[in-house]
Amino acid sequence: MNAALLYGLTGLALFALGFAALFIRRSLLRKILAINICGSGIFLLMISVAYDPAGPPDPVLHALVLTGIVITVSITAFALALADGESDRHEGEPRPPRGPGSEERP
Amino acid sequence: MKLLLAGLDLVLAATLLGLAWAVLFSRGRFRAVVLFVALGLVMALVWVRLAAPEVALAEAAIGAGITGAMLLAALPRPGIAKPRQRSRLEQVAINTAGTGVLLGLAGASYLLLAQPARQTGPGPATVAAMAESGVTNQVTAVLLNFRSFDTLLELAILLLAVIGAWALGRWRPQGAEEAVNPILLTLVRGVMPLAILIAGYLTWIGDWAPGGAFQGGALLGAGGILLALVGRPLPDVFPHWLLRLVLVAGLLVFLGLGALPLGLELLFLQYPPAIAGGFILAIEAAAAISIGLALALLVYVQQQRASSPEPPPTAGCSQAGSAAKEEDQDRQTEGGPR
Repeated sequence: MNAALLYGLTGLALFALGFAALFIRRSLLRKILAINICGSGIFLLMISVAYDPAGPPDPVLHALVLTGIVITVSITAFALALADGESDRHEGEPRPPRGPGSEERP
Repeated sequence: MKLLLAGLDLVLAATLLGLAWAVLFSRGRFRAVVLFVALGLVMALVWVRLAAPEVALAEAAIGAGITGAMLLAALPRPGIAKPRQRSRLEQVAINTAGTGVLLGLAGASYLLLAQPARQTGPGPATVAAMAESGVTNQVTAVLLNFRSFDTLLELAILLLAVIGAWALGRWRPQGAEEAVNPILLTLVRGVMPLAILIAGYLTWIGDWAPGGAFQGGALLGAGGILLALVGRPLPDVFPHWLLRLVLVAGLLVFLGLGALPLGLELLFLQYPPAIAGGFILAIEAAAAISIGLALALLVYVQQQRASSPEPPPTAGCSQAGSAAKEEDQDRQTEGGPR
């Protein structure tokens, strides 16, 4: 089993893991993390396809992944900004108390 | 040696999967975010292993660093970890879709195993055009010359994300009343010029070595975040019109220089080969500054929203703690894998 194949399969597994969590987890933070991990899986697949053990790799896929990383961070920021507004609108409950009792966890 | 490398590959792949599992399914959202940053750093190692140093730099700086800062800043918000209720129909639809996707992935894995890539390495078209690209780093040539339309639109998306995120909040000057740790302040004063210098260097060497506008811009963004940590966020220091101008400058310079060849009877973004290097460097310089500011603003806005309506938070940690509890409840009700 060569390295490109190993990392390609790892990329697919990462995508599957992220995709499953996107549906299984119900908190928005985990969903956003899941989208990020899905993206990482795709990037890993692309870079492993571009990898050539004997010579230089294919730069086109590298450039696409670089673009993808910046797009991912944009999406993450926007999703985080939206997540708050959305929850405020639908769940107008009072905020959980931020008392001294809630400090034992990191 | 070969065995050692194979062992390293296996360890890295297993670490990636284990960390991803922990990020998505372990208890406590603070832990999830910290592990996510760790995942980004391991990912950067994998990029180096797969001969993708540009991607490694960008992943470590943007994927792990900036995204991590963003998530940590957003962590104190209560709305972000609340579980959502779900109807039975929705659950069935999700299960069906999930099964379909898993089957698709199995097919993809089979294809990957059975059909090895026919041609690896740089495509002949890329190699042939390198002489006209104006740079010698192939990734930069693709990013800013052969496929510069992608990069142009990517800058537009980053700008849209900043506009969108900021439209959802409002900048509240933090004021100087908060006491700033003098040691941190001195440290940041010493580090900032170096960060700017290294960012410029990273952007500049992108023409022939791993580096470029995104890596340099990410470093500038990290500098902006450091400034916020010592109570001097950019919107408090600079007039807002100037920040807005700098924010769009990268895209405007890119568009302007891209349109310039039209006057020389060339196509949009088709730089004249003799001076393509100058075009690319100018675009990269402007883009790096805009990217840096955009990334810093994207992190600021999370922090702002975290501390928005009610009394200012005393310590981020205590809120993260209460949030962890919240999510634990989420997990108990959902009964997912542990």
